[in-house]
Amino acid sequence: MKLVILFIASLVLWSADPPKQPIAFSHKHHAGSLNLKCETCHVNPAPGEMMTFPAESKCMGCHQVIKKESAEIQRLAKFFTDKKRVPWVRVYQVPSFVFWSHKTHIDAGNTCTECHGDVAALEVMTKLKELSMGSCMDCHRQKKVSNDCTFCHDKEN
Amino acid sequence: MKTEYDVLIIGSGASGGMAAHTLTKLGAKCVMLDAGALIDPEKQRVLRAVSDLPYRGFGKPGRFPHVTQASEFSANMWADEKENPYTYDPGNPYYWVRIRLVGGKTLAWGRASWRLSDYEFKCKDHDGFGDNWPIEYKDLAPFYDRVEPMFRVSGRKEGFPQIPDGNFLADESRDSLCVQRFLDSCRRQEVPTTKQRRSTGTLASSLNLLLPEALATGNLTLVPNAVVRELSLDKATGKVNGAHFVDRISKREFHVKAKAIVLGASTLESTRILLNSNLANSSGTLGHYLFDQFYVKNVVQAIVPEARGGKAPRNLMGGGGYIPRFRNLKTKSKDFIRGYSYDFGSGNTPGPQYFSAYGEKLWNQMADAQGTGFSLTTMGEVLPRFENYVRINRTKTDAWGIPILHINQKYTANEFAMAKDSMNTAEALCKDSGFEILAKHWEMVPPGESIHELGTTRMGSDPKRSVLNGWNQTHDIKNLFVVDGGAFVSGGSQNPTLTILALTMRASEYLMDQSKKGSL
Repeated sequence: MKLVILFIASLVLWSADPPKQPIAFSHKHHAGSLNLKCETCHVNPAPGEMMTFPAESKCMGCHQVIKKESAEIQRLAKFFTDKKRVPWVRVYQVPSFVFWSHKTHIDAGNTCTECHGDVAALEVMTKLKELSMGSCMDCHRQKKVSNDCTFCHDKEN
Repeated sequence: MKTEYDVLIIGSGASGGMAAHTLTKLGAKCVMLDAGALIDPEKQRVLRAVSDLPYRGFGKPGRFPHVTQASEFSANMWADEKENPYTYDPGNPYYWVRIRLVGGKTLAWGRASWRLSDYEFKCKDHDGFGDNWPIEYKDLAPFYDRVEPMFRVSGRKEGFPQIPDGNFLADESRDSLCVQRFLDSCRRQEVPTTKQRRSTGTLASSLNLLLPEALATGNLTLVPNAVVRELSLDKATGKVNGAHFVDRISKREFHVKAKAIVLGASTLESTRILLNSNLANSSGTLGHYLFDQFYVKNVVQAIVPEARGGKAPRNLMGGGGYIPRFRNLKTKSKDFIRGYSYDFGSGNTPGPQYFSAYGEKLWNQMADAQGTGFSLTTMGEVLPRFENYVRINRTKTDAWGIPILHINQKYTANEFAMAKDSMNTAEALCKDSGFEILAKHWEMVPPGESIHELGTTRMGSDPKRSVLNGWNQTHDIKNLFVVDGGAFVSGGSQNPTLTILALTMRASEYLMDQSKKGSL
């Protein structure tokens, strides 16, 4: 029965309001001005479903010496020394009832901007692209990828 | 309500929505009553993590005993069975699945969009059983052509006469290797296959595709939370002139007046309204010839062996397709008439019920089979029979004091034989594809569960054996139309929504034409 699957899959809400983050982080500076690649900070561990937030140690690799007088960096440093994760607020999230793999999409040659927009131009991380079942299906159709229900959703057993 | 409208539309789903869309654009002043609330899906749907739900997504036990599709995520969507009861004979259960919201079941439909063919419209000519429709494929084809772009139906043209091609967004998706193997096997055994044909978009509902344009004309008054009790009749003219309804929340009684009525409240609700109104039943067939389509879910669950242990190479798994009816087209099966179709898909993980193990052993077996599944679901034609019917249960009422339905539907030898044949055929196709068969069965879901209930106000050329004529107009009352699945004379194994939309568009244009001629 695909009825329920389709209904639930359409629940993903799209909002242009950026969530408040625990530390002011500028993608515009890091990915734009410094031209860092996305995967420099966001690694994709096996099996590859998720991209991840960078470890605090990764940030501190640079910020132990760069801009360490900044209040924001000092907050970052406290998370690092306290061995706590920075509670970043996720901007994009695919529901748990959708099979989603970053690795599959990256391996197929898709770029980050296709789903996330021009993040390198953003001072504050904001949802630029709608992520709904409709937008997924449109992209799949354009790229000649299956839109079969079971391609993204589990079939009830 | 003091205003007299040109047309009263009851129901806001596929049929009611299309009636409103067509009639208002043609200039009719319409009022639409729907028993449910008006929702804004963008604002009112909330995504919650399963860990935040008291029953972890499974839902409160016993809340929806007949809605196997319900889960805790979607619990507020389904019609409450205590407020909206119905009855059936013990031992002969019927699973009536309802949504009472503006937009109806189009808020959640599976979107499969197949045309019927003359194998259905002229079914009696083909095999001698039942009755032909009073229309044929060529009568409805121009309306299918117009409905498909509205609902952005994606598909692939094949030239199969049993599922005529349409006005599709081209589906040129590639098939995974396991699907290609299965398609090769089907070709060897002369079983036809194609891509799914589905409406696309984030929401493909009456609520976003039909009602906004109808409201924009300024000709539609939408009244949510209006539970219709019965239609009213002008005894002087013998025509219907409105409906009595109850406000769902306050339970206040109202009456609305109209020059014509279009019933699109869903197959069984429209029939219930007519039975409670004691109208349109000179034939004695109102409520009879109830049928649907039977499902055998996961008739075969197989495994693609090369994918075991997470070793599936890229492009091996994923995707699926559709097998249209192939039985009893040019040849005759000895055990049954008509036919069935399959949905098939790959890449699923077989659930724990497929393994005879417990604890760590079960865990390991399931991990080994992760993402290896290949399964088929059968959708079979159910024969329309007079003996399958609904009637009013005079001893019980719903939460608004309206008498409820008693439903009686049984599957017969033809459906059982078809289900068994579908299991054997699916098994042969999977084996020929080199898949391991994990399980097979031919147990049909209970009547109703496919949510494709049809008939009970069927069309026909003979007013003594049918409720509606070929324009969805009741034989008895010229200004009364029924446009939902109740009109079906036979249904094939194709999902019915696309046909309901096309029939409604056709009927609505006819209504306006007749109205202008003064013939209603």
